[in-house]
Amino acid sequence: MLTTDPLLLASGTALLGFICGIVLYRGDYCMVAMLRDYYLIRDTTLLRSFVIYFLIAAVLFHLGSLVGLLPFVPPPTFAPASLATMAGGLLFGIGIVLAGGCVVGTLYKMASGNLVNWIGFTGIIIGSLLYAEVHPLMQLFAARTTFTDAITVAQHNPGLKSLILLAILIVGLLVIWRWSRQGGLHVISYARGYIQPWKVASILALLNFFFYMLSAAPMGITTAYAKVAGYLEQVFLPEHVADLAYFQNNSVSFKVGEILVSGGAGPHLDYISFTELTLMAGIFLGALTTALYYKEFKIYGLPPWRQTVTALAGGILLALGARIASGCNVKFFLGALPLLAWQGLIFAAATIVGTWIGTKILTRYVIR
Amino acid sequence: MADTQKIKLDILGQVCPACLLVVLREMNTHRQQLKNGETQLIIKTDHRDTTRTIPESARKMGYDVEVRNMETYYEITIGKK
Repeated sequence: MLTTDPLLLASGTALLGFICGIVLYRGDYCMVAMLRDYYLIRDTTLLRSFVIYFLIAAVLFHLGSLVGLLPFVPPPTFAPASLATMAGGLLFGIGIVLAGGCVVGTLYKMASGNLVNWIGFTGIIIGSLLYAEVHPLMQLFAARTTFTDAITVAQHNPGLKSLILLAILIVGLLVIWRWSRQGGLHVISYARGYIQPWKVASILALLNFFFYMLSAAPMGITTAYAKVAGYLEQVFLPEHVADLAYFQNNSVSFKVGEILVSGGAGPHLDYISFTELTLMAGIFLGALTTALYYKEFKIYGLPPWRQTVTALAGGILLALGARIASGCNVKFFLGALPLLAWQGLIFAAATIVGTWIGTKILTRYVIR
Repeated sequence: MADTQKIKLDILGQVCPACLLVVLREMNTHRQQLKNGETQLIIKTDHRDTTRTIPESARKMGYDVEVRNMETYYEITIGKK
């Protein structure tokens, strides 16, 4: 149930994050691999599981809103799609391939001790700081290039939306039924404690539904990175942070009854601290616990220098992309797509192109 | 076979998908030797997902694959038995 109590919100989202971290680590459920491995080896295993995610999430979100469990559809963290959504998605797609992980993948891979992902993480923090410098300009860009004022497809026509979802559901179920008949859902992996991709996808859909129910919005995480960046910059340049609109203004603000809930990237406790930041900590700790449990945590040293530079650049690019689009694959692939939000559709399309470019760069110049 | 040439690839701690790409390249380079059992590839990796993608790709190319759980990582052997 929706809550505005900081303690409940923080503990609930942290717990959901913890479970998320365990499941993602065990299934090595990498959303970069999901797109990239199609370009590399035409592997669609993870993409197929995403169809399952999409269907479960779409049904849960829709039913949840119909019975009143999700009072905010579309959620207050969403906005109209713009050219910024597209540009951001493109940069983000290139960045995640170069960094070897998206915003969440980086977290659960860091938990195994892989330094590439720690470098990627550093890049994401740097990218967030860079973005804070140009935020007003980017905000203007987004406002000037909005495609449509509607947040979701058929926003003001619930009947039509139901019909569209029903059509997608029928086609999706037929496709899954065909895959399962071809034995295409079960995969063989030798990793310790492996969880099948379709199971990870299903659990993820449930977790995101609970997250949405609790916090009024589906999972998001990149603003938490910006917040960490804000806290760091605050230590060294407090006057500068006080001057930056990005760290002073709220990025989300809505009312639950009489209570005003708001939050942003600034270095202080707010809605983002009790949702995204706790989710981020939960995922890392869940994955770390799992890595330690399977005795897989180990630091193998620095990767070759080309990979080091690329991972840092990738982190910076993906952070810039996510900030320009005001969200990443977690918010847009996992939340906005099943809600049929325009931001999700446009961001996803741009990211698919971006990962293709990223894969080309990686195979030509980095891993040789 | 005692005279099997063993090519060892240590891809621990590298960026994903370095493991997959390096192994695919080595499988192509040593195709002939792998096919007639003169060569084996032995890969050390900490990328969990490659214990799925590499065996699948190698088996499609007609090789035998074995994955062993080592202390903190995985060892994948590709070749003819």
